[in-house]
Amino acid sequence: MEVIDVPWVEKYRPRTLADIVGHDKSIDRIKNLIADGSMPHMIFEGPAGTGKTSTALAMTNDLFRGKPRRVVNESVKELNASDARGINVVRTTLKDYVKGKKNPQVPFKVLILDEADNMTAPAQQALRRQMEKYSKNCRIALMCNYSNKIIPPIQSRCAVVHFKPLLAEDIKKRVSYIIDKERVRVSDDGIEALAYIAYGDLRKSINTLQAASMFSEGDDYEIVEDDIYAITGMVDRREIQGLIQEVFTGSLGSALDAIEGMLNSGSSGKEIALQVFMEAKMDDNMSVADKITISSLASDAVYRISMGCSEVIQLRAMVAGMHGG
Amino acid sequence: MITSCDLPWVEKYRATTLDEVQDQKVALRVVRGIIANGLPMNVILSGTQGTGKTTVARIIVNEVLGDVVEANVMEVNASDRVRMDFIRNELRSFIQQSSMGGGMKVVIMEEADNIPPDAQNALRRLMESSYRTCRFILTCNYLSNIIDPIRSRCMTIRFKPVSAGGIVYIIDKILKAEGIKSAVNIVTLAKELKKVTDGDMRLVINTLQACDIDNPIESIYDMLGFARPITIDSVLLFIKKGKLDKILGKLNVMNRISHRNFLKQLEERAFQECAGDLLALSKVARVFGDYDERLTLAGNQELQLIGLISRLCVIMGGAEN
Repeated sequence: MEVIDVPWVEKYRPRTLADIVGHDKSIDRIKNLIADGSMPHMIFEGPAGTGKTSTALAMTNDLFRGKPRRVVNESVKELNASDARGINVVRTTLKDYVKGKKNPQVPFKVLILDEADNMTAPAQQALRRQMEKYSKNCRIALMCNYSNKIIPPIQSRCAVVHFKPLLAEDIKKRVSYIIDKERVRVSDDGIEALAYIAYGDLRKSINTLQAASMFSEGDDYEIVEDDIYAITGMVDRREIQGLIQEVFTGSLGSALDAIEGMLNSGSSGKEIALQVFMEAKMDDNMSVADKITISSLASDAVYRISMGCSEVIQLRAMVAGMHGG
Repeated sequence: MITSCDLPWVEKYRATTLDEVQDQKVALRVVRGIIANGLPMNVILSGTQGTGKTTVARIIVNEVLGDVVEANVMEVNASDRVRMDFIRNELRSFIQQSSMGGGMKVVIMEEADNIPPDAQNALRRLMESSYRTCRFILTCNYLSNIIDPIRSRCMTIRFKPVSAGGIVYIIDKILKAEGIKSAVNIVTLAKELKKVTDGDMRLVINTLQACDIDNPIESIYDMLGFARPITIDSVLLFIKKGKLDKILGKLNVMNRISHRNFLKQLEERAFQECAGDLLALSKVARVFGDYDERLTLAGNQELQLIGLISRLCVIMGGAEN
């Protein structure tokens, strides 16, 4: 029974490698790796929402192009390591698939193992054995956020492909495509905001866009910047920029007041400190010395707030440090 | 005078419709959109305590599910219950059972920021695989404690601390309904309540119910463990004059209240004093940051407070000595 249409993130998942935005070098590398219709075991490493699983699925589509849908479906399995990550699963479910018969129309089966860095070390050891033993029958692509959590013996058996956070330009490109297809109206600053709030996580942008499309009041409603910020739990970028500006131009008093205003609008202290840091990171005109100051102060603030310190006192100390530094 | 005193006021005056929820204009606009579209996505309600998250979560499911709300909603407090086993067993089987009346099911998870990260990972998977039949409403105080993969799969609605204006509205309503007269002006009372509760509506109402209404302001400060303003004033005066010995005499007062409250009150007054001197203002803010860390992490409260005050004497009293 279906309550809802597919979410946009699924609906607009890229079907082939050519559809994937960004990661030009990584995609070229993958194309080379599978050029002869084969593929090595692989590790896709990168933060959430950068396209690891999408790329893996698109890659198998390209690999098995021209084969009947049914054959492709039974030759590609996506398994999630978070709910099935013990050694028992590796020895049973996973093993059954890896050594099970493949369809004669394909050279090998593919197993996509999501969130592989959540697997326990013993489970990974067991997996490593199977990667070797059944590699003719099945190739494995491991998705992970941190490749250092994958045991070295597996890493050395795989081709590692890195996925960096997507550039704002790439996010805007994909988001604009969806806006066009779904016939929603979004202002230019709204699209900017969609790219900003994601920090390179395209899924977050698309989900936010779908969420924002719900409160259009009337068909002609144009979604603006403020709507985007209202549903993400982040402080408006302009406010963060204003804060940094104020501190550096000397009006400390109003910056201290602004902190209170941000907290009163419902943002959490850690988020604010993180946003200040990200802003410094992204600002090409800021001097390196200022970036160093802001980074160290923001890290102090986030650490202290994590330890249970007062949000308002720590954020004010951060701002005061920026002023004095 | 008070007839139905069995229910605490927080329950008695809990909002049952969105119109009664105070002060969350932006959030409510999004919430209305969600309800109108029949809860099409998973939702995180984020904000500090007592801002109406649970109230709104219940209103959403009531509006969206109507009659079948009892059967199709699971409400859990995540702090103590939601671990790996719970997600794999109880939660999974709740989601797999077909729903009453054929509509969607909803899981309300309160305090989701307290779910350990490995369990959050399992939850994330379940959220994805049950997308067609089940929705999740998570509430949390600290959005940053929710893992990124969950955050990128949900829409987040921020609840802000209730403003003094919102407090005026609610205490006026309650006092009128209960037939009680406050000894001080309601606006003044609301301002003080805002200061000591940080806009936590539950705490506001509980405090209102328990305080001595003939002498509300002092009683509020005493009840919630704050120093009375007059004490802070005198401490600040002694700091400016560099009279550490006089402050030592006040230590018993400072020890009775939590350092967090004391720091907050003293910082506010110290900022007022330094408003014209940016260098001092910057120094003061950083000293408070350092001592906040010390007092939170460890440290003998008395000794650290004296340390803080000594530093302040140097910064703020320096010009006059």
